Formats: sequence, structure tokens, C-alpha cells
Amino acid sequence: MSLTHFFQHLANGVYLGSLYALIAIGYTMVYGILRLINFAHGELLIVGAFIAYYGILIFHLPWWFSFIIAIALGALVGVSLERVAYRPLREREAPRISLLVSAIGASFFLQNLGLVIIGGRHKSFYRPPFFAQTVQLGDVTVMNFLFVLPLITIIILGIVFFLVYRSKTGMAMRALAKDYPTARLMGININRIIAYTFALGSALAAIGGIMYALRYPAIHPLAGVLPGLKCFIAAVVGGIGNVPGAVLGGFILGMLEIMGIAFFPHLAGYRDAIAFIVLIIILSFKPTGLLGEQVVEKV
Amino acid sequence: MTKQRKIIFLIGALIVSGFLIYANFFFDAYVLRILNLIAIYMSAALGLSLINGFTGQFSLGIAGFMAVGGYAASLLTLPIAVKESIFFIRPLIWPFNSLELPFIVGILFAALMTAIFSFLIGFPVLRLRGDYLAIATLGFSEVIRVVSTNTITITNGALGLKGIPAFTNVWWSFGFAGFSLFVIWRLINSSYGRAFKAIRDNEVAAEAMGIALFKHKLLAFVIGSTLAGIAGALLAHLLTAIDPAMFRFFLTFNVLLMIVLGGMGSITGAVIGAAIVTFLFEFLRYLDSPMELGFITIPGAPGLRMVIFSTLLIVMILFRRQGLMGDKELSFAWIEGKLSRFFGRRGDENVNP
Amino acid sequence: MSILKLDGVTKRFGGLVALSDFTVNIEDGEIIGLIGPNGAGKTTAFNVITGVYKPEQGRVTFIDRDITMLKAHPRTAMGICRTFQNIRLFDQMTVLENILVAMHIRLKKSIFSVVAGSPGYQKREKEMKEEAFELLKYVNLDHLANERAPNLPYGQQRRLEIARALATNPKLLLLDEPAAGMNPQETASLMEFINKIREEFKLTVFIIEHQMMVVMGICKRILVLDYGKTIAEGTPREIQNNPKVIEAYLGVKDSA
Repeated sequence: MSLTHFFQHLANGVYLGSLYALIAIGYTMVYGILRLINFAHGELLIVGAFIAYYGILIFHLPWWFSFIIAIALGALVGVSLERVAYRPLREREAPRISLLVSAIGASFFLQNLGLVIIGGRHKSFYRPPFFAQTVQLGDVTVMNFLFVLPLITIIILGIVFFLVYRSKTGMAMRALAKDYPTARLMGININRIIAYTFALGSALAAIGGIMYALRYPAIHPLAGVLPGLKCFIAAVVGGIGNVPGAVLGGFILGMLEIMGIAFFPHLAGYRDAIAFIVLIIILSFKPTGLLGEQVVEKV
Repeated sequence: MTKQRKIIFLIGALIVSGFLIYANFFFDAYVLRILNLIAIYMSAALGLSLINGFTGQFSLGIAGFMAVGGYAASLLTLPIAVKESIFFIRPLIWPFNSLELPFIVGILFAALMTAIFSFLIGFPVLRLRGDYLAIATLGFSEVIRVVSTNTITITNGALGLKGIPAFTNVWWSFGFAGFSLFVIWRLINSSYGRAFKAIRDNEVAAEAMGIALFKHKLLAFVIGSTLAGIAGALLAHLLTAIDPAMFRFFLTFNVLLMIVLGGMGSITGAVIGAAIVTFLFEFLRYLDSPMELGFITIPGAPGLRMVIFSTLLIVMILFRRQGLMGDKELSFAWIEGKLSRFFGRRGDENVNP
Repeated sequence: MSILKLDGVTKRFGGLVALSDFTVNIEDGEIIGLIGPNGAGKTTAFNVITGVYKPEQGRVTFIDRDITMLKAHPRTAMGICRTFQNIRLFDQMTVLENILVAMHIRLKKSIFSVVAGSPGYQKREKEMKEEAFELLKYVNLDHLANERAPNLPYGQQRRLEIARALATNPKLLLLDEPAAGMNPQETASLMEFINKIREEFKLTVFIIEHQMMVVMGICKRILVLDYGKTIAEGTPREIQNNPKVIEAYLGVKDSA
């Protein structure tokens, strides 16, 4: 493998890694607060991508404006999802497994509603010229977005870290994640904080969905399932509930997926299994993920 | 079992057999196929119910084990000539390429293979709890599917296996459903069943009472998965063609819906859930394909059926979390009560002998 | 004869030392109390004895066998059983089934013979049910045998939990605050009950209790823990007059 090829793979790995990291943060924030695997998070990716797609195609919006609308509406869908499928169970103090079942139901609902409304044919996503410009790197040509998007990711990560670790609402979020009953007694408006968390997580999912669509421009109602699962795994690998852990997990999975195939091309067919294998290995050695806290059950 | 119960059981068995004989003679192939599917999914749902409902280990890997069972059995029963014709990309490996064995051998092999697979998978994952376990079992199920897409010399890759002999009939499918019912019923009402339920109710206390947690979780996981694996084998020999895409998470979703609908801690619930979901799934098939309404044609909407199913799942979990049956059973005592009322005499109500 | 020996046992949780160099020797047939302020490490001591936690240092010996690293469930088979501070019954099961679960370790039948309904198993199942029923009769819960465990009043749930522990055939019974939440009348009958089962089942009893009336009333020897350390040991009278104990409880330097 030549050095330039290696760098190209590296750039791809960073790209995929930062994409996974963005989406994994949404998973991890929701899990941190609700102790719920939001199975429908992967569908929120595709919701974001499709809103952006139709904004450009039907409403002829400028691409950047369409992206902003998609992110905002994505957040709204996430909040409504919580309101309809999770909050009633939460208020009745249902067992966690019930919430999980509801989440699985919501995931299938969104997927198939997408199939009914949009149809099962792949749509080709518009790639703005700003992103599609190419750069010459030695003897390989790379498209602009491979460099631009990791930068955007870093900026967004900065914003998220600020919101979670420096803002007042972020403090309430973390208090809720740490100790639900006490936070409630302290007068934190639980429903508002949870809605806020879902809005933030779903907005990140929509951004991730748009980035995913820019990279792999054929979008489909079921296309969110696999990246959704992989990002969930990234969050678990990093230690679910832990924001830096989600970033770490996202980069590990993204890099492994790209580099694994680059170095062992004959294993390309197993690409989608890599994340699951990493998951199983990590959980066998560190049952709460790389940066996750060890939970000691009180007896 | 008291004499009275033996009689009730015998009458029940006779009614079912009579119905099946009648069905076999007079129902068309389509209805028979639905009946077969119901029985096959009953077995799979009972298996999942043992793991998720009775032992409280939330597993999402049932589709993977059905795949293992389906492939294992089909590889033995496929006629050699068919094997030669469908494996045209790369030939099937020895010894499968020179085997053509009876159905029962295929089923036993499917049982053996799913037992081995579930043991090997259960070993690392059953140390995990709650949603970690759920995601790890789902992960393994997906790995099984990806591997079966790639091991072309065994599974024929994405093309799958075709021309599997249609050995499954109502006797096989209902016979096995009856067998599963018997095994789970015996198990749940035994000392082992109480140990399983104790683990579900309170793991810490169960361990303090001397129950070897890991061993019992593994037992439930292997038995439940093996039942699902045999169901997979029967499914393969009913549909006569299988491919990796059949065993997506979607299949697990359907079986999960069955036990959630019926009630997670109820054998009767799993049976009823399997029947309702399978029936609805076939009945609502028209939603996904174009429909002629005399003078207008409504175009079909692929996915609409699953929209209804997922809504059903959410509504069920929101408004009737315990499912139709909760953890109650259709028991002999209940039947006796109804019968004695029907015959106008008060039966001796021995609720728990 | 010594039945249980803890030798310099230390258990840490992160930076917190829950139990520090804890040593105790319990004689067969003894009834011994463990007291101390909240968070003193009493339940941690029970968790180390029953195998929920493994200590960082020290040894646990049960009837001449080193069990420090043994898992929890074989300890129950050897004859150590416990109740819990916050009652832990099997909520979806009946009173009788709760007892039967505790007999599962003594089943000694393979799952195949159980599913096949072998005569050996059926006989064993019948014996187990009879034995469980006898036990329920002994603790006056037989009329509630088919009731679900959570439907029982609080005091009876406590009694059921003790009966369930008895069903494992223990030699050493660990009771974690059995009188918590009971009124004086219930407490008195509980004390009587503990004495009765100790005689009947030839038990050694190790008991954590906050109600002084109970420990002082039934224990011949009492250990006092504070911040994971043993600060006093002796007869009830000695403990009552020990200045260190008074300090720990009343908090001379605001330590309670």
C-alpha cells in the first residue's frame, strides 16, 4: 500500500469515525438519562437525510437552508417520539424492558412508514458543489468533504461539550443521569430536560444523517438501520452514558471498519460484522465499555 | 395428573388431530401453509418466551438461531443433484455435497447445531444483563447472517438454498409445536422452572438461595434457542427456499411481537400470540400489494403491514404491558371450572393439588 | 468448634474502605450480633461472607474450608444462607414456590429426567412440596401457601424470607435487620421466633440489627463496627457501657 493510499484510507477512517461519533453521542445522551436504547435513533438519521433531500428537490431551498430545516425538524421528530412512545411508560414506571420493546416498535414504525410514504427505491442525494470539489493529493484525488466534514464535526463536538458540561441545562442533564430521584426532588423539570436531550440527540442524528448521505449519496428508508446499530455499538464500546466515550467508540469503529477492509480486502464481505465483533470482544472484557463506570449493585 | 384431566387432555388432543386430518383433506394449499406457519412460529415463540419471559434474559437473537437450524437441516436433506445445480458459483464443501439424508436426521442435526451455537454464544453474552444482553444477542444474530452471506461454499451466499424438499406438513409442524409445548410446560412447572422464574424475579436473592445463575441462564438460553432452531428447519422445508435476508432482525421482531402480545410470562400467551400474529401477517398481505375493488384499483403500499404491526406492538406495550394473558395460563383447573359450570354442577375446585 | 472465621478482611469501593481488617470468629451454635451506625460496613461484612463481594485482603473460613474466593451459590450449598435488609422475595411467585426455589439446590436431578417426568423426579417433587408445606406450617404461613408473596403483610414477608433461608438447610443463618420496620409487639414475637428456629434447626445465627432491644435481648456476644473497623466486642452489658460505642452512636465528634 502506497503512502498516499494509506492517507486516503486514513482520511476515510477519520470521516467515518467522526460521523459515528456524532451519532453515538445522541445514543449515549439518551441512554445516560433514560437508561434506554433508543432503537429508533438510526431512523432519525434517515428522517434528517430525507427532509434535506425533499427540501432541495421539492421546495428548491438552498442546500444549506434545507440542511438547517432538516436538523430542526429532525429534533422535532425526536421529541415527538419521546412524547408518544416513551414518556407514557416512564410516567407509569414501567420496567425498562417495556421501554426497549416500545423503542424497537418505534424503529420499525418509522422504517416502514418511510417505505409507505417514500417507497423502496434509492434516491440520489444532492451533493453541493462546495463539498464535491476535488483536491489533488499526490497521485490520488479526494473530494473536499473528506476534509471539511471532520472539521464541522469537531466544531459540533465543541458545542455539544459546552452544552453538556458548561451550560445550566447540561448540568441538569448530568444530574438526571447520575441520580434520577434526587434530581427530581431538587426541582428539576424532568420532562423538559428529557425533551431537551432528545432534541439535541436527534439534531445530531439529523446532522449525522446528512453527512452520511453526502458520503453515500443513495438514500433509502431502511438505510439508517445499519449505521444506527453501529453507532449504538460505538456508544456501548466507549461506555454508554459517557460523551467522550461515545466519541472514542465512534472513532475506533470507523477506523477499524475502513482500515480492516483496506488491509484485508478479501474480508470486505464481513464489513458489517466488524462492529458486532468488536462489541462482543469489548463487552467480554469490560462489561460497561472502555470508559464506562463499573456498576456495583447494592445488596 | 388426575383421571379427569387425562380425559380433558385426550379430548383436546383428539379435537386437534381431527381438525388436522380434516384440514389436510379439505383445505387448500394456501390455508395449510398458514396453519403450518402458525405451528412453526408457536415453537419459536415458546423458545423465546422461555428465555425472555420466564428467565428474564432479554434476547434478540432468535432469528440467528432459526437461520442456523434452517441451513443445518437443509444442507443434509437437499438432494445431491439440486446441490450440484444451485451451487454454481463455488461448489459445496464435503461432506454436505455427498449427503442426502431423511428429514428426521436433518431436524436432529439442526437441533444439535443450534444447541452448539447457542451454547457458544450464550457463554460470553449471558454474563451481560438487561439491554447489554439484548444488543449483544442482536449482534450475534447479525454476525450469523453476515457470515452466512459470505461462506459461499456452505450456504451459497446471498443466493441462498433453493429446491429444499417440502417435507414439512401439518403433522411435522403441529407435532413439533405439541412437543415444544410439552417441554416448556413440564420445564416451567418443575424445580428448574421455579429456578428460572426466581432469576427473573430477583437475581440477587436467587443466587443467595443457591441457584447457579449462569448455569440456569445458559440452560434456558440453549433450550429456547434449540426450539427456535428446529422451527427454522421446519420453516425451511415448508418454504423450500431460504436465504440470509430472511433472517434479519425483522424475523426476531415478529417473534418478539408474538410473545409481547400474548404475555411474556405465559405459555398460553405465546401460543395465542403466535397464532394471531401469523394469521394477521397473512391476512394483511393484501395491504402490501395492489388491490382490486371492483371498479378502482388501490395501489399496494409495501411496508403498510409492518406499520400496523409496529403500531400494534407500541399500543400493546403502552396500554396493556402484560399482554393478553399476563402471566396467567389456560389451565386444567380453568377448563374444569368452565366445564362443571357448563354441566350445571359444582366441580371440586382443587386449584393447586 | 469454630464455624465461621473472618481474618483481617478488607473491602474497598474505589477510595472508600467499607470494611477494614475485620476479624471475627463465630462458634458453632452461637448467636452473635453486629451493630454500628449507618454505613459502618455491616451489610458489606454479610456480602463478603455470602460471596456477593470478594475482599481485597483477608480470608474467610467456613468449617475449616477457605471460601474467600468461592462463588455465592456453592456457599449456600455448604450451609450459609441469609435474608436481606430490603426484603427480596420472588414477587411473581407464590409463598410455597418461594420456599421451593430454595430447595432447588438439593434437587440433584438432571433437566432431562425432569422434562421426561421420571418417577425419581416426581417422587422428589412430591417430597419437596411436603417438606415446604411442613416448613410453612412451622412458621404459620401454611394458610397463605398459594398467595403471591407481595400480597403478604410486611411482618409475614419478613418471616417468609427467613423460612425461605431455612429451606436451604443452613448451618449459619445471616439475618440483615430482621426487625426493621416492626412495632414492639412484632419485634418481641420475632425474637421468640429466632430463638425457636435456632434450637429447632441447630443454627448458628449472625444478626445485624438496629433495634437494641433485639440484639441486647437475644445475643450473647455483640460486635460493633464503625467506619469499617471493629471498635468493640463483648457481652451486651459490656457494649452498653463502652465509651467508644457511645461515641460512635451519639457522635461526640459529629461522626454519626
